[in-house]
Amino acid sequence: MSEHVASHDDHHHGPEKGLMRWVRTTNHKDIGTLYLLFSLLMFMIGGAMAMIIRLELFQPGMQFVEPGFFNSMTTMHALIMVFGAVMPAFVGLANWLIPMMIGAPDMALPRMNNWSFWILPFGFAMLLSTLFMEGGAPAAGWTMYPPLVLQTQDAFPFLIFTVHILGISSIMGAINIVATILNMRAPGMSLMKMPLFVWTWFITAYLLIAVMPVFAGAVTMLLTDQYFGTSFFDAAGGGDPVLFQHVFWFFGHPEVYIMILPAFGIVSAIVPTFARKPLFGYSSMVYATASIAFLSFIVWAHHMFTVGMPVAGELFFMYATMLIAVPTGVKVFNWVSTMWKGSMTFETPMLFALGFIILFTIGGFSGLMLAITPVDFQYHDTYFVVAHFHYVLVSGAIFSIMAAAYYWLPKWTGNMYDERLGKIHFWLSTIFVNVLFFPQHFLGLAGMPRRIPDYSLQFADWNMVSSIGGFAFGLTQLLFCYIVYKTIRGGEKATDRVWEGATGLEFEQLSSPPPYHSFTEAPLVK
Amino acid sequence: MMSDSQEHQVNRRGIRITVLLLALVALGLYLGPMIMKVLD
Repeated sequence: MSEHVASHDDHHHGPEKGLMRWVRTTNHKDIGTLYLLFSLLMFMIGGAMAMIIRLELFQPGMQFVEPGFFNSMTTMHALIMVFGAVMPAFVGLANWLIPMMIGAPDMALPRMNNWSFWILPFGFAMLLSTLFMEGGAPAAGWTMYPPLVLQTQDAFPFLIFTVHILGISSIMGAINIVATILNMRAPGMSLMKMPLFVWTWFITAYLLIAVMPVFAGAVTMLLTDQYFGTSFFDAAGGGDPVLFQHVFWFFGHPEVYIMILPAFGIVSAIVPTFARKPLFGYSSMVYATASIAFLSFIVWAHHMFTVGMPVAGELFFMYATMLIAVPTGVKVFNWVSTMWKGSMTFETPMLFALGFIILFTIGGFSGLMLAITPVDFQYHDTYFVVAHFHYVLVSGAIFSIMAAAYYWLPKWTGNMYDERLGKIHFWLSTIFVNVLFFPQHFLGLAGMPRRIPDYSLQFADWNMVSSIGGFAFGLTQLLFCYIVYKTIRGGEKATDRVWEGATGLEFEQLSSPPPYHSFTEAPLVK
Repeated sequence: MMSDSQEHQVNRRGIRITVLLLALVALGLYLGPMIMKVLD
């Protein structure tokens, strides 16, 4: 045994009792559960804000809220959904699954793992506390463009500090994941044998490490501009407000892929299981993921075509953006090819995965439309953009998280979920997510601007349809909470493999539910 | 926590090097834009 390997005692123990189990835990499964439950809570809070937005937009005119509060709702909804719901959900899945999928006993840095999670609730408590402050919660949009964001009153430092906390949490989580995957794989688990979910998270973790510090740097500069007399983004002092947009979107575009690459990994796990065929084109999936990650760094200015760039710049960012369709198309092709001539069944995880493939592709197509520079001049800041990114993030990222929850909940809890309720949840979600977001394409093409509490009469009909879809979609998610609760409490016992066609260490070598400390003996991977 | 037979797969030095390198990259990316703008 070489000198640099760790020595551990052979002491096995179960979880602590009571609340302190969750506060002090260093167990990857406990921390995964904490992340997932936190994410569900944030999903409900962010969703409630979305309901307020759709309520106000149900009819033209001002009905329920003040314009400033409406702007706070759009800003807080976005921040909470991006940083509180989608990202923690994927980190929760990573915590639960990566060690089990690579045959590791835990994450590489379990105490840092605990810390990564537990700073999150404090960050969001700070952010939510701004709702009760003088001047209200942040209202300048989640993009925080100066000089508008500098008009934020007491909430401003809270917003900046919250972003720092979320950034620190994400960076620690990402470093942990890279360190785990590089150093703790079971013997025989070469990189090209890792499940696609592990691969997609591996690449996502690098993206996080590359862009979260840049985001933190940008908001630190906002802070010093506001309180310490610097002029990073103040034209009067020699700064440049457009510089913020460049720095923000250098973070913001890879952030989009941070929220979708793990979803690709989930779908790549689920489709082969229910098609009862191995994944088509494994290595091309890995290379496509890496290509998307690389391209995500050189497309940021497509978010800001209208600021007035040189034509050469606009052409570069247009073509680079369109190029992303190639590796993404490879993925969609591979999923469809996996299903081709497969013995397919349509349990709830598969339904959500199929919903993901179709609806995410619609979001991808509208993204391609937005990538076309001259066309973007018309679409920019309209509801077409809102429709596009909600197709990608709700029927994309969130559908994949739902698929993952149904797919792995029986493994985690040892209990099968209620298949009938799961299917009802899927169909209601799929119908109403389209009622909610598809009309927003029409509104955007007709010229309705985003982030406004009131609108012209010609937009009234589709806004009403969209709001009805929104309320129904929101109510449907309460059913999801009930299904999860019911599954945790009990139900038909799941087998160790759970699904007939499931493969991977977590299904083949671990019980359902897995022991508190799994793979205390390293599995041999052939 | 872990049995002796598993120690071979926990490479503590590898973990330390990975963490140190990635943390340095993150720090550089945090301070880099600010320093570049100040020096500009």
